[in-house]
Amino acid sequence: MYFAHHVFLYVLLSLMLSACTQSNLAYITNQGDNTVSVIDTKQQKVIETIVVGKAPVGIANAADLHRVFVTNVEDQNVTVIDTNTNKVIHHIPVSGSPVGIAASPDNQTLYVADWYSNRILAIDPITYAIKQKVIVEKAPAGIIVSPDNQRLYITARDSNEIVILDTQDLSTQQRIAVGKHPFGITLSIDGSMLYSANVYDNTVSLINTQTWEQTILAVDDHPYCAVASPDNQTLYVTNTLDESVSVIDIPSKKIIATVTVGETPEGIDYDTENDLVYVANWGENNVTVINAKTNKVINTIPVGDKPRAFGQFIKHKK
Amino acid sequence: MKKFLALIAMAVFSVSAAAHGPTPQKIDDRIIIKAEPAKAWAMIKDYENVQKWLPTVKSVKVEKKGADTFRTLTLKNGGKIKERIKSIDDANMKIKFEVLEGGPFSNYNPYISVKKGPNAGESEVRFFHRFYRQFPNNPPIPEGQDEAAAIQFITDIYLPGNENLKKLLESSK
Repeated sequence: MYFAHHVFLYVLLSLMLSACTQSNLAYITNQGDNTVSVIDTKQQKVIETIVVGKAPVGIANAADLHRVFVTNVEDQNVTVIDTNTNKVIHHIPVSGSPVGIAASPDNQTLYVADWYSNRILAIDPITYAIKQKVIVEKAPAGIIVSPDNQRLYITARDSNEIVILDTQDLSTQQRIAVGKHPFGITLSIDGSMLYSANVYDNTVSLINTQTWEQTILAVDDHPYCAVASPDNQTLYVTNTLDESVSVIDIPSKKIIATVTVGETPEGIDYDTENDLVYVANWGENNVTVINAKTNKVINTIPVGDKPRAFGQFIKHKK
Repeated sequence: MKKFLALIAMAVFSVSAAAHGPTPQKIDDRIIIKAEPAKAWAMIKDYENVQKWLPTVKSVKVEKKGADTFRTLTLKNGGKIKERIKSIDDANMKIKFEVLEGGPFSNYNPYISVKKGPNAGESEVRFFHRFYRQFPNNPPIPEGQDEAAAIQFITDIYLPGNENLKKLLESSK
């Protein structure tokens, strides 16, 4: 009994310890080899490679549920991964061409953009039931939910605009014309600013979400995705056809640095724990790590084939 | 051997071509050439005379429209390809272009770059191709507009370039 008590305590302690020491994890979708590379952002190395469905692109995470969700565009489904074990626990069939994906901050709803069918699907992330479907503007790509769970922002690539849906009933609240072919979309952490990468225009849109005032800034060739620093002072944009990241000072709306990364950078996200920016290089099969304080490349991590990591791919520990 | 490899590639690619979706394709064609980078770059940047090293091309016609430079390649097989020269970067020895029409592809943005090779006096030439299949929508995909068709076309027309460039640069003194 005494022994059993000790064993129990030991197991409990080690479980607690592992929960405490767990780092932030970056989930990189590799579209070319149907896997997800899991990077420990403290160690800056791949700790796991998970087989998902065919041609994974989008990634969303629901930290409260310990789950990440991956869109497999060629399998027409969404893979559910348990982040405690990094095992696949389910595939949600969605039909169409699932690309963009986002979890609501309250973790109650998962939104999937069906690119070719111009649809948005609202899915229950626990029961996997499809709660609602709605048709939106052409080629919905990037999606993100406001921190208060009220609004869903979508880039409609072929309509050259951002569509804003009311999450209550998925009705369209607003449509904002941006540059040509907006793809990636992101918000400041407080939700006050919205950013889209406009691929064909080589621009980014900086939009105030209260007044809808918009500033359009030129970046480099074919920008795809963007992420803002947690203090919303700096915006990082991947230029897919220039192997670079444009660093924008948000208050002055000026480019303050251009960081050379790997070939065809696509997905980008910010590791708030270590102040690092992670960039998935589709053409180079690796991830570049940028120190956000110095804007210098500090590491390059090999991952799978054709990494895209489209969405908020870093899971911050809770 | 080359034909055999192409057949294997076809077999592999036709499996993925049966699937759906907006999946960009990549051909990352690199070669080490025993010639100084400056010498390789001189030949590559001379975009008006690509027929000198790309063996599938018979002749080149260059047109300037405003700020844009277009290049039409007349192929030895009778086909024509229209391209736009996007930029020529001498400092980084890199030429970027966009292939507009002439084959079963879309959003086709290749570039050629020259870097120092592993040893002194060597170059690494990288001919990098990013493209999508021609058919932009969900399946069914019409015949000849899938990923396999795009890959085959690019393999046939552009990939003989690197090998020939090596031959030319290594044989010239």
